[in-house]
Amino acid sequence: MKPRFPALLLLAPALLWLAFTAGLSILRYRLNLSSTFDFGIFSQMYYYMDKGLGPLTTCERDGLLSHFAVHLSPIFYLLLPVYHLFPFQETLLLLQALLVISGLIPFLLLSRRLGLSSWEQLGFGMMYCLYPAFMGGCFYDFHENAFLAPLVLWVLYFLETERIPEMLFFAALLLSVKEDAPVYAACIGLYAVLTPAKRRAKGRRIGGALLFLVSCLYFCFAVWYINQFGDGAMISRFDNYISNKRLGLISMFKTILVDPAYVLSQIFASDKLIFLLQMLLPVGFLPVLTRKWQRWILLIPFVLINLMSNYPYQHSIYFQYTFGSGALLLFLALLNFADRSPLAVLNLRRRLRTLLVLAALISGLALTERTVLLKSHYLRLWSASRQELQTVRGLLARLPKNASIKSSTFLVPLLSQRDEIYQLDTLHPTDYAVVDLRPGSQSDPEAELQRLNEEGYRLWDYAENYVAVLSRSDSSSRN
Amino acid sequence: MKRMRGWMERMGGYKGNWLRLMLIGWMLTNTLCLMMSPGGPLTLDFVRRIPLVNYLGLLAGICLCLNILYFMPFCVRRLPLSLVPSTVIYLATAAVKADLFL
Repeated sequence: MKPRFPALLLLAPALLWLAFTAGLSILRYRLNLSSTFDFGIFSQMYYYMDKGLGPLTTCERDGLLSHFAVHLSPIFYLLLPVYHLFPFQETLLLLQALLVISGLIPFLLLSRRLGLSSWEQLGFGMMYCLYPAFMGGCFYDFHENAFLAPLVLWVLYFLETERIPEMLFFAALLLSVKEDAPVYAACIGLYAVLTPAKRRAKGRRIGGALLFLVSCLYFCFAVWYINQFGDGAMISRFDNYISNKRLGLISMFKTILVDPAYVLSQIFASDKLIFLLQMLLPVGFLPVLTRKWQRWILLIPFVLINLMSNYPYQHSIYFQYTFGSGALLLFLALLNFADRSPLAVLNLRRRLRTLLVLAALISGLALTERTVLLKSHYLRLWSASRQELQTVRGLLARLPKNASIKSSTFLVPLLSQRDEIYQLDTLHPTDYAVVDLRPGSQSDPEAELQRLNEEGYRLWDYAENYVAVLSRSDSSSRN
Repeated sequence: MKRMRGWMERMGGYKGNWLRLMLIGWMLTNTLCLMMSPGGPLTLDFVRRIPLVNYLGLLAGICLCLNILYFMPFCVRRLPLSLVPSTVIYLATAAVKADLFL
């Protein structure tokens, strides 16, 4: 097979992946199944950024606030030029899918760099496309974590090729994803420092040391910034390790040091075992098949971010927390597969290695098929309710652009391109209130309508069994 | 000269083994804490009950003892260092104690 053939052959599955993931995540939004958290927030944030006013939102913390007070993610500005050209919510979802699948490029380059044959490159390329956590993560609408998959792989590619300036450039982009992104960068840096390198590969170690130091410093700065100027770093997700509230994250280190049995009991909790299999089966357990302890450093983000926390979304393949650790697991699978040294567990057992990759591809296919089947019902929903959806969109489009609105969570993304949009339980007085009447979408809509009525809102328009729009008597004349 | 060479060789081995010695020390400290502290180990209360200063003191003492042992004159050959026994002892103690408190 010619060297470029794997890339050409992988173009078809990659495009199929992109079409399916982008198409159905857009459909999810069009079906009004996306909620305020997180798509409503990001949609309104881009609306403000496009106006040149910074990453502001009103629906995130019930008041005008910069999103950077909650998460420090300057990387969002990278997508702004495209959003400026196509200022729609759909643009963000398409770009997210494109970002995630673009990680295939550094992954293929890495497989070539590590000396894999064309067939092996093809196999690993398919492994990337069939990795269920990547597709699943895109279906919880838009999130900055999607940047992690390609950026982690680019950093690793430039590290392996010893192109340090490029590596540092991508590392800077990686750090700007979120305040916890330094965890990935620091682990990559530490891995580079501790891996025995050839004599002429000194640059790799220096680059790794620099990356580790900068990541640690940036992490401290990001946490300080959020604590000082924002809402405070979200450490509540690690509450199960914080033995002393006053000390915060520091007491987490005490827990790990003093009681590793407790940490293990938290990691291997029954609800996390399925997730563990969903993450490791599609890579054939290759990431853990090594005796080189330095490589285990790259598993730290997976353990720390996905397995240690009891926050349920962090150990689910249908949310965005798996992009970074998934990329590291794929890289480790590639590295351990390509390793021919005596310390490699799979050394000399070529047949076993090939079998593991095949098993990984089969489990990846099975898990991706499950996601495809789960998400395909959006197509059925779309064809069943197309007319109704058009009516609702038309109705909500009639709301004045400058009006302030409070709305049920699943209709916030659709209404988010305005200065003021709040959740329905806000204390802010608004011009309009939008209540979702779909069964299961809003807890007790009748009571909600009654409450709004008492607050002085009167029915403005409605779509039967779907949505009711109420306006304050004084605001209709104003708009 | 011979002594010096032996010491140097041992130092070479030590350089590769210091991490293992530390980890063994850590496991032994945790096993001691498990045995000494009342209450189940799989709770945050267990962590709260152990003062960090006391824990670090114990850890430092055990690591120091292990390091001294490593340089004893009777340890002519490189000591075979394995993490397995200390880890198994710790996990077994934790399992027994957790079972007792369930």
